[in-house]
Amino acid sequence: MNALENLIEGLGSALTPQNLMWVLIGVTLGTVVGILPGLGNPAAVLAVLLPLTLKLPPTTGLIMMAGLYHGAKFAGSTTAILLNIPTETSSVVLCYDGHQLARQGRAGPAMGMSAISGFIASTLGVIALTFLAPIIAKFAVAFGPPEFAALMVFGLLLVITVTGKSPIKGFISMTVGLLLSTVGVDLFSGTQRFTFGNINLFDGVEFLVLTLGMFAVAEVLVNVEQVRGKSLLTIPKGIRNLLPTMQDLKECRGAIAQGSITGFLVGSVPGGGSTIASFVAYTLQKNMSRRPEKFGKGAMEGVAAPEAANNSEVGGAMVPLLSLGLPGSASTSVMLAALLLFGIQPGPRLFETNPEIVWPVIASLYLGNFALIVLNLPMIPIWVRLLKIPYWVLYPCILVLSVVGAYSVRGSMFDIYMLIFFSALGYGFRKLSIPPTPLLMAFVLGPQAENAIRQSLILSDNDLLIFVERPISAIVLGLAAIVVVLAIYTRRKPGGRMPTKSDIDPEPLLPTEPQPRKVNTQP
Amino acid sequence: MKTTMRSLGVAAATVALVAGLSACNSTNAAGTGGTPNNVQFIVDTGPGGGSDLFAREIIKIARDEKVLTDNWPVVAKPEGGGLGAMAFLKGKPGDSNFISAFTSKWIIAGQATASAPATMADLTPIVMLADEIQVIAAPADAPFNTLTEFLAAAKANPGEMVQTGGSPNSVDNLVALEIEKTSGTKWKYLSFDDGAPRITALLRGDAQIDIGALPDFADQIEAGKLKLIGVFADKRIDGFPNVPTIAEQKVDLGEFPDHLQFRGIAGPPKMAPEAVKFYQDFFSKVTATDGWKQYLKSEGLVPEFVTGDELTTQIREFSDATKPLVAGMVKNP
Repeated sequence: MNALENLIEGLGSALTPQNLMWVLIGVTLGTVVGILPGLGNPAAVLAVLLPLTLKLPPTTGLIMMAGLYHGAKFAGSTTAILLNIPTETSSVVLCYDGHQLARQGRAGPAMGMSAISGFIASTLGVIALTFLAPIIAKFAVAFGPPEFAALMVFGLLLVITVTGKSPIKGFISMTVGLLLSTVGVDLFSGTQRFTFGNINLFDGVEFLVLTLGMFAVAEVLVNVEQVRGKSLLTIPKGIRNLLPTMQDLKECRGAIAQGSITGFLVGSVPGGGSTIASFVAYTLQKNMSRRPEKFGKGAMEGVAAPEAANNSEVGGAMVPLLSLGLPGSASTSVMLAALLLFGIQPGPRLFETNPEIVWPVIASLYLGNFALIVLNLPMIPIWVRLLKIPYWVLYPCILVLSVVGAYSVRGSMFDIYMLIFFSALGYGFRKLSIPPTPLLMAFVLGPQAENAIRQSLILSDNDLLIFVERPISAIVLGLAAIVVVLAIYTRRKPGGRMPTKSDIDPEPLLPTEPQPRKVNTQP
Repeated sequence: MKTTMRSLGVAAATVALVAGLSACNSTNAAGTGGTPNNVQFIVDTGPGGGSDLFAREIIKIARDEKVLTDNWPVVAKPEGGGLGAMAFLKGKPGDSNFISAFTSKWIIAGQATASAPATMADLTPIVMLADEIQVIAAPADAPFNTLTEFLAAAKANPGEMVQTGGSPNSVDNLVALEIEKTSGTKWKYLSFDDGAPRITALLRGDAQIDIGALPDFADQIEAGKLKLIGVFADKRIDGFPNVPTIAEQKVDLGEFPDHLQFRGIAGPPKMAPEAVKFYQDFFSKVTATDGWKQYLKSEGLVPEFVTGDELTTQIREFSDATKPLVAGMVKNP
């Protein structure tokens, strides 16, 4: 097994005391910087700290970058779970179940699950990258606009299935998200859509501003109406309650496996990315789970699946980068820039021409993840103490961080006004019990779906058959049809394949909604 | 009632914060006229983007080679692909402390937007620094080996061939539209917002040609997956002696100059001549260094140093060539 030998050799050259020190520094720095909204985006963290790594030898520099990357990703999950603030796109989905778990006093286990499932997934991702890269690369090239369109249609359908008890409210939320995503200059005609001639809107609505408003600030606004001078959430005592139990891990086996595969495949497609990977894994898991009714109310699987996808996506994204020289997502494009700065041109022949750099890169990615779990699992009890901060200290801090975060994305005052607008929107959504997450999912998936469908139709001269003529897209669309049929079937028939789903139908409250009232009336 | 008061308090705190930030934003040590003393480098991309890296590289080389002693912060104004940066500079007339790294994209952005708050014509061009040679790539197994052969194939199958690229306002689409016009052919343009899917579209056979810079394709060419079928330059390029230029292939580019993609430096409107001189001196020192030459080579850029009237003419020629095409596109979307 030549690939395995190379990987071990790569690990060997990566595992020097000096490199270990730098990877630890990287993870710590990445976590600290990543906690701040606006800087939390791993790609931005890498870009900002890139010059720092250039002072080091190439392998060491890349290893430190891998540490930074994983640290920033973990920080994103942390803020999403603890505070309901996703600081980067791929952690949005954790606001669903991760934050609900935190509200139930299980913040520690949720964070632990995020780190553990991430670690397992990236292990699988690295293994798949090592052995399957050439095959997956073929798959990545075959994945064109019609295939992508089918995947996005699938994704949007799944968004509806996670909207909870009121499909209409979920649908409203999704539609608003789709509408917001159309703001900006149209890629295909250069025409402006909903920009009102304002250049600040030409590039569309900034995702982070939308998230900070809809989640962070809106959450603060709703909660200040309730809090009576106590700490927000209960933190159970004892280390055993701060980490996931064996039972949790056992329940999440399937979720981790599913998330790892989904994440790896989505990541390997140029234009895929971790956000889509985490959304698809979450919604797939909800549809596959034996306990779908727990999703949105604090299901451990709802943390494990997307976090697994989020992490194995990195391995997947390295496939087109290393075997084709094409970055699959934002983070790998920064990796690409770094490789270029080190004088390495990634491309179809990189594995042959520069094995001394490729394998340490793969090994260092893995090492970064390992360092993360070693460093952060013991830190979880400390992170969880964030929740002990009284609201009169925490809330102003969240507001300050949100405003600074919104400003710092583009250095634009306009984005702060947008933040105020979306905060009001998010507050209104909460008051009306409309779940905000479908809005965000649609906002991310919408433009991708639109672009892919329009690209396909350009190719086929507006012939819709292109979506079923190509095998991969036909298969994905077939799966989508099965999901729809299953969803209708289980809704209609209480004794259907997923009987648990109907049990919760009569419940009036949306499970996806944070329920501050309930929490705060607890003694 | 109490809850309303709390909400109001939060709202007030947010407003206070916003006001504070606005204040920071508007106070700017104005160094109008005279020699620059507190320079900021305006770019149209965020950290890691093309112009951002270009500006940072200039500053790094200048500092390494002791041309520059202090550090010039790079400020991103990424709105609307150059429009935000141009509008920002327009709001600082005569201020010698702001310079920007402009590209050919800025000229087109100004033309394509009816409500453009500023255009290249508003700014003071300082110096042209680099030219990015554009090449035409095709899948290695394509039945054509030159642009002329591609045009013949396109003529035989009108509206069937596919070119892939970015926004329809990008220069690769505009030059293609001009060639379609002069050669009486027609093909499709498939937009992707990232570079990677364009390459896979070629590899998959969804698209037949792509116009871009050599580094975009170099590795795929080396691996035998793509080939070049033409070069937009006045002579053949190093490493590809068998790929004829567009002029050699006798393809009519109409009004289009050979320079399709360029990078230069511009300042706010009415920049004082002594400030323009200061920056021209600065860039002549930077461009003379070995570090600069190496950097351009690694990026596949051709060095240029054009100033004064010649620069104004170069920008005007490009502007005149693209204007009717951009206008035509707005009419027929």
